[in-house]
Amino acid sequence: MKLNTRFLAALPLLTAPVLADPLTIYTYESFNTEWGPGPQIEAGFEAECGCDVEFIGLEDGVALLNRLRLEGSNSDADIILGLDDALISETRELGVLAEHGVDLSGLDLPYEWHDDAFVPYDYGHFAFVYDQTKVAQVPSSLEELVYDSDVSIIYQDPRVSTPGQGLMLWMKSVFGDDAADAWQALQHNVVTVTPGWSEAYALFQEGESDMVLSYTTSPAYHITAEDTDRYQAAIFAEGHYAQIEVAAALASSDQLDLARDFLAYLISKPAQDVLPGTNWMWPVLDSADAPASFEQMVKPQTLMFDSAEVADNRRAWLREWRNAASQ
Amino acid sequence: MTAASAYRYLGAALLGLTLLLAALGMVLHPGRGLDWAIYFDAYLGRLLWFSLYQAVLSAGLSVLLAWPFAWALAQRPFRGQWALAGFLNLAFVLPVLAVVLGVVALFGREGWLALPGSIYGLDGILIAHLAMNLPFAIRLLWDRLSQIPDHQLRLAQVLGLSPWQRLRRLEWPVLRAASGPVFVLEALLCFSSFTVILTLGGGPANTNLEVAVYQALKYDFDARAAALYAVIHGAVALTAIAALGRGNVLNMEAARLPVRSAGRPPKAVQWLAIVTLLVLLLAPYLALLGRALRDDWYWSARLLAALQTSLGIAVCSAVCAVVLALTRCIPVRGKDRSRWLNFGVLVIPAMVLTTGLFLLCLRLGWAKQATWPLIIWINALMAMPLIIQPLRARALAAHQQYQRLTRVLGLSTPTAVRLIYWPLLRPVVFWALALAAVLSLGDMGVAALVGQVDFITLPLLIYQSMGSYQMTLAAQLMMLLLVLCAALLLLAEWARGGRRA
Repeated sequence: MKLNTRFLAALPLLTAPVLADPLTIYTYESFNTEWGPGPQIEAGFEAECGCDVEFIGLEDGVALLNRLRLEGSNSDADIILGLDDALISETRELGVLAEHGVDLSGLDLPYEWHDDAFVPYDYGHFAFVYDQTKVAQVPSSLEELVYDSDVSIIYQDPRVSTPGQGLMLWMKSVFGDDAADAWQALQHNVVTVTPGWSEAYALFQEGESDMVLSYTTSPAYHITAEDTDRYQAAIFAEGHYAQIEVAAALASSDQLDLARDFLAYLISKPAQDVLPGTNWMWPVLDSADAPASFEQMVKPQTLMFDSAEVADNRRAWLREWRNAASQ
Repeated sequence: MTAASAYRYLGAALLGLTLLLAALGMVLHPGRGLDWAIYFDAYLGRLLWFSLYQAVLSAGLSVLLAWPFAWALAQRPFRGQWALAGFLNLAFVLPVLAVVLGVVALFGREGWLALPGSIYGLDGILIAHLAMNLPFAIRLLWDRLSQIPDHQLRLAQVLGLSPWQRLRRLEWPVLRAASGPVFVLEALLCFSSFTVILTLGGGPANTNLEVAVYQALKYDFDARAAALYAVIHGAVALTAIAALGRGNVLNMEAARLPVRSAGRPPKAVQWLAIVTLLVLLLAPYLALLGRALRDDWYWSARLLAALQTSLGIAVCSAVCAVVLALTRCIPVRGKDRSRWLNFGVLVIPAMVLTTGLFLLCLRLGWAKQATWPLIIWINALMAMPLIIQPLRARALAAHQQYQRLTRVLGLSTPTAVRLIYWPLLRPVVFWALALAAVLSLGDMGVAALVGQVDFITLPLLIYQSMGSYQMTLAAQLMMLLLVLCAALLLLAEWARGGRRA
């Protein structure tokens, strides 16, 4: 079996054209839309390396992990970009990652970062975003939203999407063993659960719900691009679950040096300048240029789990959500 | 006859092997899973409940609503009823995604008749299922009603029965007897619904087993859960079939067009039924067209790749389907012992077969290489039951008519095929090719389950644009897909009708 697999995996190498393969990067869909950071970062790095970069967009962040599981060391990807800090422990266990060899000292992050496989490239805090011209009674805590509010919400499927998973971890860190009960109570607020962030946000903007799960920095987009401050992030008393988005090179890549160069480029100033105004997350480089609207964004209190704890419990917590949310 | 029987055995062996390998894949599924006991949780209960509940509700509504239409249409044969029957058939063959998009375009937030609530959920699912299954139910019931023997009708006339008495004495017993099997069939189709529930379900509360299989593989990478849900799905489907009785399923597509010749125009009540039906059934497509025309044509960068893949797969699977169906048409002396194979492929939901085969490929590390062959083969299997009846009928007729002649002339099998069978079968073969290609073009479920990251077909591209809520783009692409399907179906009708002489 193993032999067969290797043989088939080697086929493309034998028939490879003289031109080098593009540097293939799996990411989540919204990263690679024409409004996302993908095109600018692709162009920037291509100019620097004289190579060809290809982004392939999957549904959302957690789908990347599932895809890696499926493809293992047969993957076409050189880099995966868009997992988050909660998933790094589980991803590392797959044993398909290469060390990045990039100097990460001096990065600006919610907490200290030491990891030899994952490069953090931006971060944010999850929050429910609402239109203040439409919603009068904004809950002031997660507990109020769950048990004492009628606002309708849309969130993302935690099995596919990192924001959805973020909400799951947020609920878990606030409600602990009562999370199942909280999920059930939340059900009456839920309009729908979408596979990815893009769908959820689009539905919210079409008016399907009062609030949508996104980030505290999402309003910056509307201020900058649409010149309106009607969209606000609800700040919750318990604190907000933090997300650090990460990228890593795959050991199976046949152009590992190029992949490492890309990871280094990702946290260099040219790429960091692009991220805040396209991905609408905080840059990890203090000196990066963010749109002026970021000055109005607050950085809330951070909630987080260690990724090893997430790895141990993720499946159980997912089942807890699924059982409660399907009733 | 040895070449022919070898060919015949090859077909039977391929079908048997498919079932066997799918079962093997279920057993050998790769990857870690949880304890079996853990899967029997509240979620599984909810899954089963919702799968059955929406299926029964959809089928019940379809049958109830079909009664008045079928009754009105069957009042007396009318001029051009073949066209209406063909139109009702069409609704069964067209891509499911077209119905979904049409329903969203009509009843969605920006639609002509926006629903008070959200289209995402049970309401949307029921409407989409109705749009697909009501025509089918009407068609079957109309067909049964038209089979009321002439002498009974004449007797009713002689006795001067009022329409009400006629309904009670003649038509109602027929309707009631036919409604049971039609209900079970429709419930079975809705039970195995994938595209509708995936696109309109909106969250874990509205998930059926078929979608759960997909999510277990794609969302959780939990092959064990996928295998479990697929097995349960297959078991429920088989039970339903057993309740229905085997003959009724095989007759499903054999429902004949009402062919009683008639030069008379429709009666008033028939006009009413026809116009209402056309408005009801065409509205989603008109809304879809309206949505598509809202903006200029947007040239998606991946459209060309999607078209190539879709057409490539459609052509290959159409050829496979016809070749396979032909192996099942070779007349056999005595009892046909492998007939259950046709049946097996028809009954076991395509998604269950796909899951089994895909799990096997995963196990062997061939997931990526297997994409095309798997989709082609499963699409062919899905099309086969729908094309086999006309092919078989024609082959049988040819056999009965010319068997003695070939023997007397001492023609070898290849010569007999070339000179006699091929010219006779050719029109039906072309029709079958086109129909199988249309079915494959419209398939999304198999491609979505098996396809890897950069794999794209036209329906998948439409689904993805829908996922980003780019409804206009989705509508435009869907119009393109519908035009393709319509062109193929026209070709098919031309091949069957035009060359019959």
